Amino acid sequence: MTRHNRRRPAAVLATLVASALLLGGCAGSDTAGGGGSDVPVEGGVLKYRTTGANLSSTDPAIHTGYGPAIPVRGIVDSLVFNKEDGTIEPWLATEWTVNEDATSFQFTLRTDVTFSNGETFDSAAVKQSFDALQAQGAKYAVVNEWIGDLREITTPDATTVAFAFDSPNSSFLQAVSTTSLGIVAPETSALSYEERQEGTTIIGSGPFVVAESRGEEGYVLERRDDYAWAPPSAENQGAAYLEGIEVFTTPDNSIAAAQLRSGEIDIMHNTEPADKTEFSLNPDIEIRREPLPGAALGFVVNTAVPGLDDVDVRRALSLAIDRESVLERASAIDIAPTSVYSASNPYWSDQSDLVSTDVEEAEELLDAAGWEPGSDGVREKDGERLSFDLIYSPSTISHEPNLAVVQAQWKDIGVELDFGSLTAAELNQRLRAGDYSFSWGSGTRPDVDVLRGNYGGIDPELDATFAAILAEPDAAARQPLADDAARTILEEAYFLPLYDFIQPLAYRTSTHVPTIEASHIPVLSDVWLDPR
Amino acid sequence: MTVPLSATGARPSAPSVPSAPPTGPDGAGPSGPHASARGASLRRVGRVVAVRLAHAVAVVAAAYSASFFLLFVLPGDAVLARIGTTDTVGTSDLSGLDLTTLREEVGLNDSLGRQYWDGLVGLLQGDLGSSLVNDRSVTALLAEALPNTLTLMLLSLVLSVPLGFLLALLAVVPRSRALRSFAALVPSAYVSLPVFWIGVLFIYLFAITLGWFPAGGSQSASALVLPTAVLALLGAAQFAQVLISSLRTEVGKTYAAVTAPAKGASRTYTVFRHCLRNAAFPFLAVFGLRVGQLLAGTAVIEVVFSRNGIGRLMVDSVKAVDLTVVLGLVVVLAVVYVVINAVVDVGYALLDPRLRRRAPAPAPEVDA
Repeated sequence: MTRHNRRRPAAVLATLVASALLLGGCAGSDTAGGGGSDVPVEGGVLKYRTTGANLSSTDPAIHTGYGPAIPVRGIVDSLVFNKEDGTIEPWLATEWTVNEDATSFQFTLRTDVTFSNGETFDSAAVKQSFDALQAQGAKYAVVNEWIGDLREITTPDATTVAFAFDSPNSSFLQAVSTTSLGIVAPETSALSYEERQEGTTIIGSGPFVVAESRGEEGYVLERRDDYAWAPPSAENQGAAYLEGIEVFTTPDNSIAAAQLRSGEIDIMHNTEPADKTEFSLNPDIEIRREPLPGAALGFVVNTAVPGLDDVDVRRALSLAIDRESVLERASAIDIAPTSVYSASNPYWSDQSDLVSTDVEEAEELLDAAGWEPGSDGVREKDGERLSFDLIYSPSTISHEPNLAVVQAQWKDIGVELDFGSLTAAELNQRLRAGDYSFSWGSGTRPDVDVLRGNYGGIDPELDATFAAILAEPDAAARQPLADDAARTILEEAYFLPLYDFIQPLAYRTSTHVPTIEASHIPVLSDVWLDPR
Repeated sequence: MTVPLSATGARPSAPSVPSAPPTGPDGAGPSGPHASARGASLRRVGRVVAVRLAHAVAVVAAAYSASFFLLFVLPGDAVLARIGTTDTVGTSDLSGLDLTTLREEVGLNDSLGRQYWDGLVGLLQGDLGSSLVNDRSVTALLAEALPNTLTLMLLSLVLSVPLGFLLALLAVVPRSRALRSFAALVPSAYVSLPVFWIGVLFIYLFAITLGWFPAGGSQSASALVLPTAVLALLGAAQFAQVLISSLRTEVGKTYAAVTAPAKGASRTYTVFRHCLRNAAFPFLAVFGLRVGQLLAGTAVIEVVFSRNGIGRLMVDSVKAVDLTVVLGLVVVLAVVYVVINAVVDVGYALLDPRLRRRAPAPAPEVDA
């Protein structure tokens, strides 16, 4: 492509402007190739870019978001491994038993595992790891909610640890498979909350150890050479192929995307729609297209809002969404929803008959419910207008072009939609106060229980189904209950699905990611790079 | 100081200097002229310092109070920011969480007045408290962030001064009218571009396309080049704007336009030898402002270039309604601002002999 070096220095400004205009053309067509062989190569440092909050901290228990959790996966291992297909296999625990009503879980532990500081992994270490989270209580609010109604942890012997609950928690097994409940060394368990946030203080049994903290700019992980307890489904059972991992926190998505294109980073999380489409066409870059096994993305309805308390209005709103054109407008990689669960959730079943478009019927439903178009085109009834707002966190901004399509489609049937991102503080405040019409539903837990968080407490029948799910330890027996829950949510239109959730993890083709967890977090000891 | 207190010296400061000793507020019945002059001079310096100090304390206190109450207008609180969003690897019912314990622990349940008072008392004891989001001490967070920001600020400031003068001279000295006009246009054009945009442009051009420098971070000296360049050029452009206009005024004045050429001085000599010093006065005012702007500008630059620093810390902390960290930063920034203003005032005195003579004015009388 054009070079600009020959221009005279006096024309610096002109060069800058011209370069900016040309960059779009230059960026996509740098080099061709990638490829390489399929035999893993040892060595190299993986450069990963993440976004999120508190990025200077490596504390697994505070990182419940996808982006920050990826590198933390390298530091801590979990008791069990949640495979990509949603099933659970042994990891630090060789086997486990669950009692009939899912109130007691007992794990048998491996005996050959050590933490990177030399401490032995045993039942006492597991107990201390969980006790530390419980002791901090509210500071680890989210993970403690996953842990649930834990009554006590007992350690009958060095290789056995038992968890007893006051109320059923069949999702506990999936919860302990997350990075957030990864096991830390007793030395780390003894630290205060503050000390755990310092960046280099987290010690685990993972294939990598924290070597350097760069504050808000990220941190550096180094390979642990004596690692030998990868999950059974990992391809590499020994020490990691990578020498290390550098974590970057480039705040701007577009700059990060440009860095990925130029090879300055190898893998990144969070991609703008335009970049998503470009990545899907770029021969140097791979972007994941498999939906995340959780819930579909879409609008979660606040049924306490006037208008939305009427099931006919909710159904009309769902019918008025033409999902094909939402997808067409948005990006090349997303796919239409077929249930409340995303298609890759192990508890998914096809309910696409409940996710349909019929604008005429939508208008009839609104007419019949007594909502008449007002002077400004927005339907009204008894002084209330069908004017709604959708609120979400900044990580949802990349979906805004899609939201604008829905906004236009609803405008055609006389419904107004405002949308905008809020800081975590304001978002949580408004969610808790019920001060919103729709929230952005993005449950990413690859489990049947993923729906409870968003739809608990609005429908007694649904609550009964959720309770039954939690008390059912058998996965096969949970399936019909899951179908029930999803059907109720779609029929009652508590949720207006837009498309399945694809975690926009993009990497250069020189980066190989053979194994991922159900949450789509890569198994880092398996990751390898083509020699540079 | 051998110059007598003559008409030339007295004229600009006529109202204050001669009348100062007799009208001192507590100067009733001085014992003799010498002692009275020295005493008055000391008292005056003392009073200036006291006023300055009071002023400084007032500025810091006002900044602290305003930020404190402004932060309460922000929706949500640090505890709500801390529990994260529903965008998690697992799903959590955040609406059901009981946060009273956590609010209790970090002191957010106390009354507004109580929190304000505790903060002030802590401040007076030199304790900035600890973050409401991650419990780390504000002093530690500042110690991590401040060196990076100071390096960036000082480096860009030091580079922007000669650059600014260079740009200004380019716009005034050359004989070619076209060249002068063009050189005068560049600073205005640059200043009107958003820092954010220039930063992104530099990254695309010099980091991504050309690969000369890293796109961000603060791990190597080369990572400092692009952010410093953006800020230094901006400072230089601002300085140049002011210098160009004041230089043009000076060049048009009789001493430069008529007297100097008549004596055979070249244009370049006149500009360098006579005009520049006179024109530098408004530059100093802009210099002080520039430091303040840098404090704000680094926030943008640190985010764009993904650098650790107080700017980025501030942005993150405001987003998370992390009261203690924001207030700690505000106090530190206010102190920096006050110090810089004092330095600028000293600079005025150094640059302008009229101001310099004010304080030691009675000295010749004593010696005489």
